[in-house]
Order: sequence, then structure tokens, then C-alpha cells
Amino acid sequence: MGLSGLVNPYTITALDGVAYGLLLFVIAAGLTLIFGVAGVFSMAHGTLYLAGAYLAWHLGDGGWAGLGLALAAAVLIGAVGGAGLAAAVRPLTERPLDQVLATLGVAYIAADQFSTVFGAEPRSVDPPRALAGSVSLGGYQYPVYRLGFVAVAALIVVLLIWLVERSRTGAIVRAVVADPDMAAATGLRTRTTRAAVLVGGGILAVTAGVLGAPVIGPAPGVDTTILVYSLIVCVVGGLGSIRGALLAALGVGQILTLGVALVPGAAAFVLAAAMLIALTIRHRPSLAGRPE
Amino acid sequence: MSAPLLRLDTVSRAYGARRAVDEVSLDLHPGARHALIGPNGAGKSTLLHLIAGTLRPTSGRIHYAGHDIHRWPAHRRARAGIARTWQHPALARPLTVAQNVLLAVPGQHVAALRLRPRASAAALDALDQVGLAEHAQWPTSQLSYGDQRRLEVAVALAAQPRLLLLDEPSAGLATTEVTRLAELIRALPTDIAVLLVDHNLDFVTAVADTVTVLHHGQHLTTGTPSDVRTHPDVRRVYLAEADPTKHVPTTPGATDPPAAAPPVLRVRNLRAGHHGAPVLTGVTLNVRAGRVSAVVGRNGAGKTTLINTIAGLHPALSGTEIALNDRLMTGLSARRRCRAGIGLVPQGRRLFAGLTVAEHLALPRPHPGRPRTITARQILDLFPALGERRHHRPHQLSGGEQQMLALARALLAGPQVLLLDEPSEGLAPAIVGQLAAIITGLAATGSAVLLAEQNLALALDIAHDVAVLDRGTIALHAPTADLRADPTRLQDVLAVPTGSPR
Repeated sequence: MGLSGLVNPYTITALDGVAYGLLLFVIAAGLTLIFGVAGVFSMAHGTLYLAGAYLAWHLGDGGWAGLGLALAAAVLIGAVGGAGLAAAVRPLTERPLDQVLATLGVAYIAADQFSTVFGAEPRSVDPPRALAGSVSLGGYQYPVYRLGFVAVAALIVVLLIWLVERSRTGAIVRAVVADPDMAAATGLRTRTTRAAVLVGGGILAVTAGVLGAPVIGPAPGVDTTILVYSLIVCVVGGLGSIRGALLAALGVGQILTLGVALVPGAAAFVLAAAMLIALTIRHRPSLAGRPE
Repeated sequence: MSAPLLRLDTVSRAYGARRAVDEVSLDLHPGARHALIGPNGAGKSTLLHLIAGTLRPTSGRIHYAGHDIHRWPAHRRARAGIARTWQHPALARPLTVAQNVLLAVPGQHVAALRLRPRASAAALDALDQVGLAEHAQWPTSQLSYGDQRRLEVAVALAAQPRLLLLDEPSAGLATTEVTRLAELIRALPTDIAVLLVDHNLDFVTAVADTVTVLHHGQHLTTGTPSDVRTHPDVRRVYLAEADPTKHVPTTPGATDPPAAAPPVLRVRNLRAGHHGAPVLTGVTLNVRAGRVSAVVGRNGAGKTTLINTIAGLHPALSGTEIALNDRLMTGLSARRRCRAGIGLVPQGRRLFAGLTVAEHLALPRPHPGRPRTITARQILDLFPALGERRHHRPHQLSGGEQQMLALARALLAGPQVLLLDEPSEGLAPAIVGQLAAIITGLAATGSAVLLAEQNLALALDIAHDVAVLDRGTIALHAPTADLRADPTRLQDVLAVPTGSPR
């Protein structure tokens, strides 16, 4: 028994699910904050992930340098993308449907450009050589990169939760979510906060693309898939809630891996049912701690 | 006596632990003209929603024309003859006046291509009743606010109701329009029962035969307008009336600092409205350092609008001038006004849900150009209760603690003038006493305080001067000492109208 009893095909799949879930969280955390703070429905969020993935493919050279370069470029592109999005939706404040259309338009144009520049076929991205192999987990071979990804993503989760829930920056962000007018009357920069969250969310999504490329590689259509899954995570987790997004992302990750392995064919139904149940039993729509 | 058309039997509506309507029973007979009054949050609108079916009661029964309708959906109740208007006109703006009314005329087929002449006649008839027949072909958006309210009544009448529910029909109307509306309601056919909610007591007196007073969701009393006016409990809760005999004139607030100092906050000709309806039509006042200035007035007089407009949370109309230490604030954002030195303690406190006490206290930063007048440590000395609750969130705090936190949040930004909107709302008398001491103390250390209060006793206790807001302007502005000496002056402007035609 012991470790070997614990390791079976299902736990290995579940580990994949954790990796998938954490990846979704890093993407969706930005989206949920962008919605909660800036009130922007960004349909271009999957596009940012895809941009990161192509970045990893383009700059990756199988070494640490390529990964580092891609990460640096991801921060830059994420910031520019987030700021551009903030500028684009600025005239559309309080017009959610127009925001959806505008950001969807951006997503379509970008998808078209990606196909033109990078081709229509899927690209596979190799992890840095140092992490390319696999390790034995109780008799099963498991990719080292995926373990490393889980570790890095877990670190991002901890940092993000600390930033949002423990720091003054996070308190400002949450105050702007709770009551933007009163936040302004307390002297907080609500517009700067909104733009900063869009920039931060952009950086997170592109970075997730670079780190996640060896797991979910760049291909046409990946932007839509990622967008849909992160929207599910946001809605189920509660718009604007970081912890809710984490739980929802881990759940969706399990359904998409373990669920598919256990009940192939029914996983999509399970996902929809889980969404429905979560939405039905959760009667408080967004922030934890909001009084009735 | 005939059977009641509408009978509410111990009807309650709870939101979580709070009961917005608490076991209210009420009978309405055909032809009744019945008014519901009560302070903000008394549950008046909720009760109308419960009768109209837009909300369901959590317990109790509603009987209407012999049926138990408490489970009926709103449209079924509408078809059974319950028509209503809304607090803000809910009209289809792209349509003409006549089309709006036609929508409500019963007996039409959705798929019918042509209007039945009978339907148009019914619509015109309803418009005629409210005096809008000549505007029938106008686009709704071109009607004045008062005419929109009358159109709403026409829409409700076109449904040929047996019970008409009116939610604050006089809100936002000018005096002459209110008079016309009152005549219109009195002239409705005697088989229609009318139940209306309104803050305008002159209007209620003119329209209603019976008045029910609600307070914190509970039925306080029902009677004729004159009975209700003289009812001591009503005077207490509805106007939070000062009892001049109870006043203790030895409070620190009574020591009068020089009134000659230049004003810190200067407001000239402040005008503001809601949904196009004017609420404030030219308010002028000064707030000086070291003094507490109070603005009092009936419910709906516009006290909160005044405070929010000064703080930059409500748009001011053209001509308004708000200056802080001679620096013009009009047109600045709420943030810039806060940085310039306007501190706001809003009505209902508006704490940030989900943020702990410590986080609330970490948010405000005074403008670097101004010396920080108070530190977080001093705040905790001033409000020791908050120190023990640093990790609690607003919903875990008592009302008094919430108010202290809202005050602390405003003070930490180092304001030069402090705007307090109904700070005593929902607080126990002992806590109000503490609050009064704190506000007086702040003024004594040189702060300028503008206090909007429903609680006249508190205002008279701590303010150096009192301004009465009535019908959009300052109707009376006098030093508190003068008003204490001659309480009838305040009563004349503020009190429930005596009803006898003067």
C-alpha cells in the first residue's frame, strides 16, 4: 500500500486535472477581477492566452533563456494588451453588451491575424530541456514539466490571494468592487484601479499562455476554448471572487480530465450539471462577506 | 358595512433576518382613499409590492375580492383589477402617449392587426380623466415630469382597476401639479379603491380619508388624517420631533464660537434633481470652522441629495456653486473633492462589504499637501470599540460600530469639512449620545461639520445653527439658540400640517 496504493491511473489523471485547473485559475482570476472591478466583459481574454502560447512557441529554444525571454515579452504584451483593452472599452462604460461586441471583435481580428502569421495548424511547444523528461510516480511516468507547472501555478495562486485579500492594494480593489462611488469619495483612484486590474489581468493571461503552452499548445480555436472555460469558472466561482474562482477552476479541471476518464461522453453533461448546481445553491451572487 | 375589497392578514416580508414588513393587517373597502406613510425604510413600498404581486409575502394572507391571492403572480393580480404606478415613471418612451395607455386596455388580442375602436375610446377616456387628452399623439419622452406621472395614472386607469396602488405619486411634482393630482384622485369613480404611499403630508391630507402609519415594517396606527397627525407616536417616529421640555442646554455645542470667521464650505444656488424631477432648487448655505451646521427637513425634502451633491456623488445642475476655502469644487470628481478636504459619512454608512475594519482604516490617505490631522492610532483612541474589532467585517458590526467606522474612514482623509448624513439613523439613544459627544468634540477642535438629520432633537442638541430644507430650498436658517427659545418657529415650517385650511 502506501504511495503505490495511492497512485493509480485515476490519481494520475486527477493530477492532470489539478494542472489544468490551476492553468484555468491563472487565466480566469484575471477575468473575474476585470469583471468585478472594471465591470468589463472581456471576450478577448482567451486571445491573450493564445498570444502567450504563440509567444512561447516563437521564442522557445528549448532552454531557460527562451522561456525567460518569452516570459518577459508576456509581461510586456499583457500590459499593452490590457491597457489597450482598457482604452478600447473606456467609451463603452455602463454598456455591457457593447463591450462584449467590441472585445469579441478584437478577439476575431486577433484570431485571424494569428492564423495568417503562425499558420492554421496546431503547434506543439516543447518545455525547456531541463524539464523535458518524466519522473516515475509509483510506477507511472509523469512529465516533469507538468509537475513544475503545478508548483509555479500554486505559487501564483498564493501570491494572488495574498495580494487581493491581504494587501492594501487588494483592499483598494475590493473597495472599488463593493461601492465605486463611495471609494471615490474616500479618495481612491477608481479609474486607475480599473485600468490597473485590466493590465494585471492581461499580464496573467499572457503569462499563463507562455507557461501553459507545453500543456495546451497554440492552435486556432484554443482562444475560444479557453475563453469559454474561464467564463464558466468566473460565473460558477462568483464574479469578482478570487477564492471562488480557485475552487471552480479546480472543479472544472477535474471534470475535464478525471470526468472524461471516468464517464467519457458524459463529461460535458457533468460540467453543465455542476454549473447548474453551483449556480442554484449559491444564492449570494458575488462577494463573500457581503451582508444580506 | 360591506366586505373589504382587500384584506391583509398578518402579512410579513423578510429579507434575511430583517423584516421589511412585519405582520401588517389592513382592510380596504371599495371606494377607499387610503394612504400609507412612515419614515424611510418603514416598508411602505414593500407593502405595495406585496399587494401588486411583484414580491411575495414570507408569511400571512392577502385576500382580494373574495380570493386568497397571496400566491398569485403579478399579471394575474393585474387582470383581477389591481393596477399600480411606480416610484419613478415606468413608461414606454418610444411610444406616443395614447399608445402607452392602449397597452393597458384589457380585452385586446395580441395578434390583432387593427385597433378595436372600443379600445381607442377607452384609452382616450382614461387620458381625458387625467387631463392629457390633447397630448394623446405626443411622444411620451416630450411630456414634462408631472405629465408623465399623470400619464402613469391614466395607464393604470385604462386597465379598469378596482384597486389602484400609487407609489409616491406626488414625488418630484411642483405644488400646483400636486394640487391637480389630488383633485384627480379625489374625482376617481367611487367604486375604485386607492391605496397610496407618499411622503408629502399636505398631499396625503388632501387625498386620503384614512391614513396608516408604518414604522420599521410594523403597523403603528390607522385613523383619519387628523387623528394620525395628533398621535404622539406618529409625531415621534415620523418627524423624530424634538421635545423642547426635554432639552438639556448645557451640551458643549451650546458654547458659541465666533460666527464671523470666513466659511470653510460655501454653497450657492445648489440645484439638483432625480430623473428629471427637480429636488433642490437653489440651496445656499455656509459652513464655518468649529461649528456644526444642521440641515433638517421632512422625509424626501432632499437632505441626502444635498449632501451627495456637495460630495460629488450626485450631479449638480447648472448654476450651482460649491466652494471649499474659496476653491471651486463644482465639476470636480468625488475623489478630488475628498482630496481637497470634503469628508463624507453617507446615509446608510456605505461601508465596503467584505473589507475588515483594519482595511477600511488603511484605505484613506490625506492629500500630501495638507498636514494629517489625525492618525489611525488617534482614531482608535477616539473609537476604542473599533480597536477590538479590527478583523471584523461590516456585517459583523453593530449599527453603532458601523457608524463609528464610517466616521473614522472619513476622518482619516483629514477633511476640512465633514458631511454627516443621518448619522443617528437606526442607532439606540445611548449610542446617539456618544455620537453627539464625538461630533461636538470634532467641531471643538476646529472641524467644520454639516449635519443632515431627521432626528430634530439631536440636531438642536449639537448644532450651532439649523437650516430647514423645504420644497427644494432653505425655508428657515437660524442660530440654534433662537430656535430653542422659540420652538414654534421650527414647528411651523417642519411639523405635520394642521390640516385646517389656512
